[in-house]
Amino acid sequence: MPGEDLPGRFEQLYRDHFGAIYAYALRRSDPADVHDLVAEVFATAWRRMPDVPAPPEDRLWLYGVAWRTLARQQRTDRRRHRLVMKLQQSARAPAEAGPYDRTPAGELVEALRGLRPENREVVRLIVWEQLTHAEVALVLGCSANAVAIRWHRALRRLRRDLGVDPRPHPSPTLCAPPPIAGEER
Amino acid sequence: MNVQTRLREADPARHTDIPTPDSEVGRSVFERSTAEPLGATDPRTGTNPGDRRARPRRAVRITLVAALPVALAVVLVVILLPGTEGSAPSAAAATFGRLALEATTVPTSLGPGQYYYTETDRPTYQIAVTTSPGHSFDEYLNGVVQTWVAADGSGRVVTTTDPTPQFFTAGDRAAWVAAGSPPAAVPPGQLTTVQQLGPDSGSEVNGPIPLYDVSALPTDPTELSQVLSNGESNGSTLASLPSGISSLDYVSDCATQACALFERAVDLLQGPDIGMTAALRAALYQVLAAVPGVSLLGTTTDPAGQSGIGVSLVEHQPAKTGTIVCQSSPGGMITHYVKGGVVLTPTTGPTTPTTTVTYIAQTPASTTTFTVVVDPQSTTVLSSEESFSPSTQPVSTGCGGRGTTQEVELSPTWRVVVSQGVVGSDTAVPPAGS
Repeated sequence: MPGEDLPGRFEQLYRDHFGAIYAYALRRSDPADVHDLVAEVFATAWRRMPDVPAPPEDRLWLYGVAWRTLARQQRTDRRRHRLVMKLQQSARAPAEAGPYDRTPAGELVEALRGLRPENREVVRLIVWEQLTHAEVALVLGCSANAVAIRWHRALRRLRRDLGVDPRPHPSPTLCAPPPIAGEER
Repeated sequence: MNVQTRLREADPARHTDIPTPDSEVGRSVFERSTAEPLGATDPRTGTNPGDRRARPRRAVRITLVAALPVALAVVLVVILLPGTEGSAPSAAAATFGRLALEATTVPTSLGPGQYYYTETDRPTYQIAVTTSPGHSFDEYLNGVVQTWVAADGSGRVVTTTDPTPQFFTAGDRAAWVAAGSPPAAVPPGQLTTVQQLGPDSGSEVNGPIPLYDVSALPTDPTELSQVLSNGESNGSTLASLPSGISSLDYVSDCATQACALFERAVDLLQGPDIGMTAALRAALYQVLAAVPGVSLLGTTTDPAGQSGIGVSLVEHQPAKTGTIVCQSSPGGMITHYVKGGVVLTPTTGPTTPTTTVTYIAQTPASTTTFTVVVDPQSTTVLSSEESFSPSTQPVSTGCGGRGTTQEVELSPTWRVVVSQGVVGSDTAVPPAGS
């Protein structure tokens, strides 16, 4: 809206949610890429300030941007190549090494890795970002019902993989990759 | 212990201190996020960024370099200008036209149990070695990356790195010799990495191996050009390119549509693809022939020593002077606007009292060169490479650095396809010479 103090709004958005987006990135990215992802998410918000919804949905909007940015960043070999090229300061493994390899809970990590990406994201948003089903639905662009189904399936699959329930279950895709809220309207 | 409790305990952020927005990290990320003018009007289209379709293409390349132990971020800004438009048909275009006539099909259909094998040569590590306080050199290690990918995207990636230090510049090599030619500091266990990917391992860092399904692409060069020009080479939209090639919609360094088109067509020619036909390869070469500004290099040797026809596209950026306006607000956060070429006026003044300081930011002239080497016999793309000139650039550290500058090295990148072909298992390689 004209006359709005967009820099001021952006600064408030940044202050309110830098920590949340940083944690989000930390949970999903290679450590070397955390700053890149956070900067990319807020750069998108900076460019699109007029589209950023008012609190409390602003945080969900940022999660949606982060999810899409992450997906895009990791789509190509070429992009990965660039990430590898950016490594400086000390020798370390190429970015291909997964983000969870370094966490101690190996069995659980393997089980999480076995989930379909969109089901895994539902689990992470609910458990780690502590979102409600309705909030997850906003981030991922599907219905709350679809989120509930995915959550149920993911838990069932995790229990199975962790040895509680050995029965296999198919888990079809329920949602397309999400658009940024408001972007397609 | 139930699954949810275990999940909570496995939270990677649980035992990590999250920086505050006012910390050094918080401020440097803030500066990177706001490096572009807010609400700028695209000078090419005169449109407003609120309109997604007409949103200005991002003309800023940002690279984070961890230069100091405190991980102080340095923002590198390279602005690329539109390429030469409307030039006469060049020797390069004629070469592409000839390649289009001779384009042949490479075997690209994958049956059950078959894998598409690609062996590429590229830098796998770049290491900044500090010899004494304030003195360092950059070295890199070359690796061979072997990928096997099945039609469902599952497969295997084996990266084998040669521990011999390599150098982008003679200066770096001299500094390495002066330091006693130390071996590269890569733990031996890291020199070979093996990554197994399943069809469901998409997303995250272990993403599926890009395997372009080009079977639905038009073979009319004009239509193909339009399809490949869809989406934004560096925008925030996903999957605006057709499914099968949507992974080409990555964050690009290109400032112009011509450059993005060039990169995408080269990527499809380089593959790996499924559903490729001779007609589509011909169309891709015709698309390249029509890209304004390409030039013919003649016989060229690529970074892996293969010889072929070299073609390049150069994007120029003249020297530029801009200003950085830093506003320090009572809360301590600093907002800055880089004004260079784009006139920017905040729609309203700040709502709180601020101190405003203006710095002059000078961006030197630079060029980015995209080079492609094609085997004239097989019409396959042997290598693609990006290089920057000059190779080091002074960059402004922005408001946090109070307008000071720092030298940053811009290293070339490349991807050389050494061999490729369809094989019967995820460990087999095609016979030599195929």
